[in-house]
Amino acid sequence: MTNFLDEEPSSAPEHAPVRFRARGRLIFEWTALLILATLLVCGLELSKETSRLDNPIYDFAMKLRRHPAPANIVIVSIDYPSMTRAGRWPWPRETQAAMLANIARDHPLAIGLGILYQSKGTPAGDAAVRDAISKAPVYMPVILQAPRDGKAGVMALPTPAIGQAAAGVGRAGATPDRDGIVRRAFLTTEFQGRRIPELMVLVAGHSPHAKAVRARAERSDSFLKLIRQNDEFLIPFAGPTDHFDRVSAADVVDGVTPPGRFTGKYVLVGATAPGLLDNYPTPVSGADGMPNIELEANILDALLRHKLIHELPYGGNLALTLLLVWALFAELLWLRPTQFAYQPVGSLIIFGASVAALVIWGVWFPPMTAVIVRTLVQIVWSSRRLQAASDYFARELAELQTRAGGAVMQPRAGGLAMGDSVARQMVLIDETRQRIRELRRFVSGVLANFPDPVFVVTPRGRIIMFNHAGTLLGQRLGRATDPGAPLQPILEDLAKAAGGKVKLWPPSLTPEGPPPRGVGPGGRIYEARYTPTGELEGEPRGWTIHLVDVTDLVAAMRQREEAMQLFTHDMRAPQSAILAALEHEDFRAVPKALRDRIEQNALRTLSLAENFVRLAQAEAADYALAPIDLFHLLGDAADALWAIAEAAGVRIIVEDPGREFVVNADRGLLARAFINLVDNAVKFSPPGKIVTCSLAEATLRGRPAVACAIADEARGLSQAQQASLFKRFARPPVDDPDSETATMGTTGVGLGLTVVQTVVSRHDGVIDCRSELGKGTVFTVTLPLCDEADPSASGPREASRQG
Amino acid sequence: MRKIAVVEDDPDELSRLTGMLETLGQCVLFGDGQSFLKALHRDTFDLACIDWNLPDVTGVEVVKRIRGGSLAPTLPIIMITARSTDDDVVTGLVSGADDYVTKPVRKAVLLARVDTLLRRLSPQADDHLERFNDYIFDRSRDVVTIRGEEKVLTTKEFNLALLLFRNLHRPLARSYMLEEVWGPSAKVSSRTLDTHVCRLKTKLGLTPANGYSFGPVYGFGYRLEKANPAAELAAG
Repeated sequence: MTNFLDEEPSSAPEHAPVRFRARGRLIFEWTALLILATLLVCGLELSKETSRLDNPIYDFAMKLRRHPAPANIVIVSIDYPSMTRAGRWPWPRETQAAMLANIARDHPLAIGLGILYQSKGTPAGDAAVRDAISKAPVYMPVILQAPRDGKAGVMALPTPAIGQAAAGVGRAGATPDRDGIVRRAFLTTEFQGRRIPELMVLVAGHSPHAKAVRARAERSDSFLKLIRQNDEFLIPFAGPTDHFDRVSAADVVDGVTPPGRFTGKYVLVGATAPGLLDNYPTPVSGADGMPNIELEANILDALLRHKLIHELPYGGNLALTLLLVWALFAELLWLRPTQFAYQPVGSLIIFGASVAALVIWGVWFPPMTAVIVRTLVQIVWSSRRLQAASDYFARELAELQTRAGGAVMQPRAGGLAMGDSVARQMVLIDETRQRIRELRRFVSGVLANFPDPVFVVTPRGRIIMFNHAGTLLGQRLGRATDPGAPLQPILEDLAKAAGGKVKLWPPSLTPEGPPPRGVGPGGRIYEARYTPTGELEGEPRGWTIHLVDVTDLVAAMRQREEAMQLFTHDMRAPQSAILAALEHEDFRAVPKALRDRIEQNALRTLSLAENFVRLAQAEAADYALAPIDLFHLLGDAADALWAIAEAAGVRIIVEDPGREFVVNADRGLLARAFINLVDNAVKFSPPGKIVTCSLAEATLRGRPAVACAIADEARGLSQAQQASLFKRFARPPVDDPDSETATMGTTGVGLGLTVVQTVVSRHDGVIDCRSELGKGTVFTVTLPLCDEADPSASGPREASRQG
Repeated sequence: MRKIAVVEDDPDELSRLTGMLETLGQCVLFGDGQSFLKALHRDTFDLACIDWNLPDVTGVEVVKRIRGGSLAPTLPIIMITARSTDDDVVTGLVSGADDYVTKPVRKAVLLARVDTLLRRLSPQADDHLERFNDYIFDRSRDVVTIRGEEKVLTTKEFNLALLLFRNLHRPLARSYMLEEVWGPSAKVSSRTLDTHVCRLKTKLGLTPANGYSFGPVYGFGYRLEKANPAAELAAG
């Protein structure tokens, strides 16, 4: 029974460390992963490798960001119709001059040119252009060529013949990102130690409103600051290609534009016709790209509106990314594995927030690093957790295989099936399930073999398991014993049949008194024994109720009671009656010798009965223990035997030990034991001899004890006599039946010493006999001293016997 | 002339008891418990000797009814019983009997016990001296004079000795003795009583050799007896 159940108690303390180990490993892996993820984030941020992946999101957001074309910017577009009407580009400078003059006539705020006048033209043409330019604030582009292959960089300025008339020159070149798409511009560009401003910065800065613009800029402090810092910015595109107000260059050349078309506006002049190869791909334009001049228009619009897009600074980017990644780590500790499935939602939220920040506030946070690292962490963590769970299952299953019923059931042949670990585990689970089923069958089998009814019930008394005897009992009472049926009616039937005074249900965790007994069919007496089956927060998880059939035991007890009654009264009474009758007048006629013999025999029978009762008492269970000084007890014993000793001419001496020897003892029984010993000594001592009782310190089983010696000066005992001393019914050593002891009626059955031995051993003591023929016998009783410090040992506990 | 009730179903035993007791008073005989209980309605007795085993109700039951009833709750009762175990003795005493005598009954023992019980009914008062044969107790000085020799005792010892002598031959419960001598609320261990009894034994010479003995009533308490060596011969 214990073999398969021994798993139960030992499993509880063993499981906790397993969990603890798992927890420790979890924390370790979590920390390691956190460090790795942090390093990965830093690496990705440093290398900007993820920007390639961020760009599509940026572009998507940028498309959402469109706003209406500003009214104050007009593009004079050298487009395809212009080519057809005014001829192939480049037009003669006179034609260009006419176009510029026509624009200048309307007094625009400023003109930004997308046309390079690098080379000299005809003097007349150049003069015409210069003349036209001088009539309005015109800003001209320069082309910067970065140093390459050892060649120094080149700055292509307009030819001085024209450039002199310009209000200023600035850089008008797009700077594509690594993927070839233009998203950003530079307010100034450093070139060979000079700072070249962006053309549109100049255009925006020149206007009657320049003051106001500057004031606004100073208020927000961003415009000038950005210029000073040579900072780059992201272009907030107003819309796709052709979004801006456009006028065909041919119309301007022809002078068919309504007067005032350009008044109070910023005019940008540039090529848009396909084939002029001045297009750049942008987030908002399609495959054809956006003409450079329109790009510039977007830059100008942004500058005028103060709506530059700010990229988060490097540190802020890193911090926010790390924050998002660490947030995931916090989640990992709290979320259940099933909630990991919602992780993509987290990525979407990050994307959404990133897009929203760009669209609404013009702040750009590249989300991909965070999303990528989070996803990676997620995958690694999930797989680690899965692995840990899998390992745990495998370990527990293997343990279950060896433990659960290991001793009861044969191990399965073939061992573990091959296959991947998941398949193996499934096989293990399957086997374990079968084992548990077998175990259950085994337990049921064990239970069924119990001769007495056994029920396993829930805390509320519903039957979980039962055995055959239990079913039989239920049938004879007409009660159901199916699983789930209540056990209470059966117990109530038993209690009712027992007189209704006993309660068999509910059981108590701290039972008082003996187990309750009920009476079943056929007068069988059942003693109910309750065992709580495992505790859960102080409450039992159920009960095992064992109804022990004690009918035979009770009958035996009754017989013993009756036997005791026989000896204590029924056998003594007639003897007393004989003794009483002997004193009757009618017996005077009988010779005195005969009367004496009758009396002696009656007395002997009485003493036999008495000793028998004493032995039964000594063997009984209920000893009333109290601390007693042995010296007092010996004194009492000596006093009780004084008369007999006096008659025999023997002196009893109790030596005062000068100290107390307190033992925990049943006063009556231990006194009887000493009386028997002293009585024996007196009986076998010839007249004039002395019986000495003495006490001395001793040790018994390593603990302080007292040795009580009863020494006589009689003939002593032979080895054979000593050997048979304590045998039940052994006769005391009477070698010659004619000695005075025999005639004094001291023979009897030798129960006296058996009583002594029983009482002494019941007091955890030992008795020893040393005898020498011709010198005398010493009986030594060694008893453990009682622990004085124990308060429960003191006090008049004897009173309990009265009840 | 005193009236003594003897309740006993065995005629031999009955005639034996009557023979022993006739010197002390008039014996009225009852063969069972019920007739005795009925007789109590119309008669008054100075003492009752009741056998434990009666044909109708047990002696213990009779004693309980007398003690619990109103007719003669203070009637001195001696249980006479063939049962000799400590438990039986205690049961008898606890049920309300004043004393018990085990069968076979010896005349000396029975007379001593009956005498004590009857004398208890008429205690002789003295100012501060109490006499018990050779022992004279001086309550004013806590001194006991034995045949002219003065023994000085502590107050507790004196009180205990006086209690024992006043109740000569009568079993006294431990709790009763502790209460009488040490007071009802004293927390005194039962062993203190043993020690005091032992000391009295030595100081006052209460040994069988001097004609006195302490009979420990196991499970109950003590009884001081004026021993009759001849009568006690077969007691062990």
